[in-house]
Amino acid sequence: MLHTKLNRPKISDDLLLRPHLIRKLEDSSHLPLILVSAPAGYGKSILISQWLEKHETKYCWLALNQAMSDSTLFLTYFIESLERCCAVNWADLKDLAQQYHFLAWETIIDLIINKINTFNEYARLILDDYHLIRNQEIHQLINAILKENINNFQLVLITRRDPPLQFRQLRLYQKLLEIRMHELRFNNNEIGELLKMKPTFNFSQDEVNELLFRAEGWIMGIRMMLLAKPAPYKEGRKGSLDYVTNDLDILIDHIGDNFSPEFFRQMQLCSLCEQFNKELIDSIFSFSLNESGGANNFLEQLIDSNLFLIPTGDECSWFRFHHLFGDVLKRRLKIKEPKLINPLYIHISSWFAGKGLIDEAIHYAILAENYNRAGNLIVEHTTSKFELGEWWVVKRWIENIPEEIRMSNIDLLLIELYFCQETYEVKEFSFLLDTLESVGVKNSSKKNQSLYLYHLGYYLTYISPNPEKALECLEQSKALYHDETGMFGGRRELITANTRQMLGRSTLALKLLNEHDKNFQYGSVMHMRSLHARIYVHLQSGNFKESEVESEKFHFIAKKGELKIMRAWSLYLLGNSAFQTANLDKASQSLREVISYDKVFNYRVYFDALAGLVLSHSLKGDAKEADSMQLTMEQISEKFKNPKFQTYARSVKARVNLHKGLGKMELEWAQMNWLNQVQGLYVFMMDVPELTKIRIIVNHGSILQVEEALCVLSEVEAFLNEVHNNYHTIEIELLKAMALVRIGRKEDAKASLNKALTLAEQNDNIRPIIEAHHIMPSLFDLVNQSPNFRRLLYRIGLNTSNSELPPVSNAASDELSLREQQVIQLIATGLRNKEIADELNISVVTVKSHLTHIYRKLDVPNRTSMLNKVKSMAIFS
Amino acid sequence: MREEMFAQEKTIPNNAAIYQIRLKGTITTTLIQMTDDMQVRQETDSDIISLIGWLPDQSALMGLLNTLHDIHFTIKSVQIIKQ
Repeated sequence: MLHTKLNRPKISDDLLLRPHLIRKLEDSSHLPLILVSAPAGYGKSILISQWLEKHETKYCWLALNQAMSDSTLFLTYFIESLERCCAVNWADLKDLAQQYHFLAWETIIDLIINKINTFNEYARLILDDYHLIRNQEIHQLINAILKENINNFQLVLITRRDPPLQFRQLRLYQKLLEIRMHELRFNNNEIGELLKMKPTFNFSQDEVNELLFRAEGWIMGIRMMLLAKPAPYKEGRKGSLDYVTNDLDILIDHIGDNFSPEFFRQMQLCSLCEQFNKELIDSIFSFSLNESGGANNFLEQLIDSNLFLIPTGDECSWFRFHHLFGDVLKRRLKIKEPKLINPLYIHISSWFAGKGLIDEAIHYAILAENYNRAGNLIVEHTTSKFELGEWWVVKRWIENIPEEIRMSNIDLLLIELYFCQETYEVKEFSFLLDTLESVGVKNSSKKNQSLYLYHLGYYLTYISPNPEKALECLEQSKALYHDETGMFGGRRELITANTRQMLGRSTLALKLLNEHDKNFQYGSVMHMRSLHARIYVHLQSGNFKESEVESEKFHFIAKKGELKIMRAWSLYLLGNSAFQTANLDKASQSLREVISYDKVFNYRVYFDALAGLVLSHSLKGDAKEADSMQLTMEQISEKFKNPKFQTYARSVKARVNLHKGLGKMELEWAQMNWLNQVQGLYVFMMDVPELTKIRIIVNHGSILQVEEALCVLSEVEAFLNEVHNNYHTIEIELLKAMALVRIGRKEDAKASLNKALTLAEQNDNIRPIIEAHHIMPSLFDLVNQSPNFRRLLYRIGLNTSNSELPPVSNAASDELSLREQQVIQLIATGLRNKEIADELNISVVTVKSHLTHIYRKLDVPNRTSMLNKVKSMAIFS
Repeated sequence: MREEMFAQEKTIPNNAAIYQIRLKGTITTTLIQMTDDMQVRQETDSDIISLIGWLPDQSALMGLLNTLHDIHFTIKSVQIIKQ
């Protein structure tokens, strides 16, 4: 970001003050909008600058340029300038430029307006050169701000022509001050005063009249004519001032005649820069004039002669020419020395690159039409921007390059593929891959080939799954080029492990990850990505115990590190694993933390975290919290452009209603497109809307639909099995059992339930059982006769319909052992320790030892509390 | 003769005027939204849209013409109806 864009142009003391206009501005300083609209050179910016200098209201000046017609760049500068003109903290809106890619524009407008509404002091924002904005979204934002009628905020638009804003209302209610050309024109008195300020101008009255007549009060024209004054006379064309106001090119040549040719050429060279400072001028001079150190003298003379120089930086460090004047200078240079222009632009580009101002460096490379250079600059700075998570900046850079160049540049196409990974533009993804192939990526550098194969691998893993081919691509990619950045090498390891798992080679995947780890430092990006990969493998294999342990480890390392994205992922994966093992407190705690990382990572995953949080609360029986979180999720989803986010929220709502026994209400929603099942959507998401639809249909659909659902479930099962995705296995088995119960095939249902319970116990995947019990408790009557399953259900706190449970002996856990239960029973009948010892044929010491254990396990201090607790647990009815 | 030419060239009407702008095409929501307080009318049996309205000066006119151009309307003619 170039901060000089945020400075008011400084005014020199040889400018005429225009008190009547300043008074007018001051009288209107309470209005929401001041519009200063007139062609170039009427002194618009100078007038506003003079006005601001006299008054103390907080303000910020934003000098717009063409590039800012881009919504994201405009947002970046707009937010920065608003922050400067008020004392409100804008930290939460700093990344709106990134959010732009996901949020609806209306939401962004709301966010900005809400913020402006919190201003407690009067603030004013000046948007200079607003005519350069040709983006409807930006006009919409400005319109919305004006409509909002904010008391504490004024906009001043300086423009060469009227922007498409809705002025009618503002005019009607007199909420707008317009300063237009006829007012900005200099009148006779003012010109007289101007001439007095410059006694060197020697004009006869006739000439002054002529000047006024020809220039029509156009100050730029007047000043240029004054500067060019002797010229026409030198050529013996007395009285022919007439042509000059519409032929600026000739006028400027006459101005040139009044200065040394060297100086005039230096001016033309500088006009190629939108802004320049001493150092840049020196660099330009040494490049094109082979001289150095001339900048000081040049600048001094420029300031002395007041050649339309506008200081823009703090302490007069940066300058620009008046746009119109600069344009004419540039045009003259292009005519006289066309071959010089592009090399000089490239030189300026390098200068900015050397200062780390990449936006500018790319801009000048593009002006030089040297797209290779622009492309190289982008490639060079992409990694660092990506590591900062600022991929949208790179996206903006690339969008400035003409499409036909972009589509034939392998480097840029490869970068664009990263954007697809961030924004999930599936169509764009395959289009880019095809384009890359057609432009010959396979014959390019090893690194490019490797990157291409990596992206192709990603595509074949997640978007159009074909794990075998994906693995082949990824392995080839690794063999071609070694990389250790998080965004390439690290991600590649992750996806490779994932594809191996999809091919049923989990053990190998884990083994290779172990070997891989040996090469990297503990806590490095590569190490973390590998931990990340391990959890993917476990989650997709359905090993939730392991995934929980690994997630704990990952979280422990990530929370100390600086990479926010890793912290976010570790919390999500921990929450997800804990959700599956029904460790619901831990799940909700981790997932709640994920909420604060909303701008950091993958929005699909972010929404899944929200879903997991709502469902955890709902399954814990905390309906209030579940409802409130569900509402939040719905509100967040409404801000998004893509309707799929609303579907995620809708699905969670349906699932919570299903828990509450209100599933019937959701039938209408569930029946929409429920047959349309896609493998790629399942992965390891806690809530998959497509599966939720089946849940509703199975429980509340017609018998015909339930039968259909069984077929769909088999299809889903088949395609998930194909890629060894066991994340949803138990869930699906339970849904099958429910469906079978509903159509009266009890024996088959029992078999499914048996399978589900066995698997659940093996993999610690308890949550689906709890959820099924919420939805259809009677299902579990089917296994009432099996002591093993009843024990399992009892252990996870689910009441089966028969109260008497077989005693369980499990000394290692916190459950009471058989002996301990006997001791409690005897205490409950009122026996003392000695009597219990006699009854059970053990010593008193042993009884005491049993009691100690019982107290610990039940977390009670004494006998009475123990008996109370036992009663409340209804262990002994 | 010369004087007359200049007199013609010189005076660009920079005061308010009522303008008529004729466009090719049919009326769209965007067009109505973008033209603020101009009267928009489809000429009978033709694909010509006529915008009539008061504009404070030619900066406003230029703004409007640019906007029309940005939203892809072909401008057929611009006329000052009343100054």
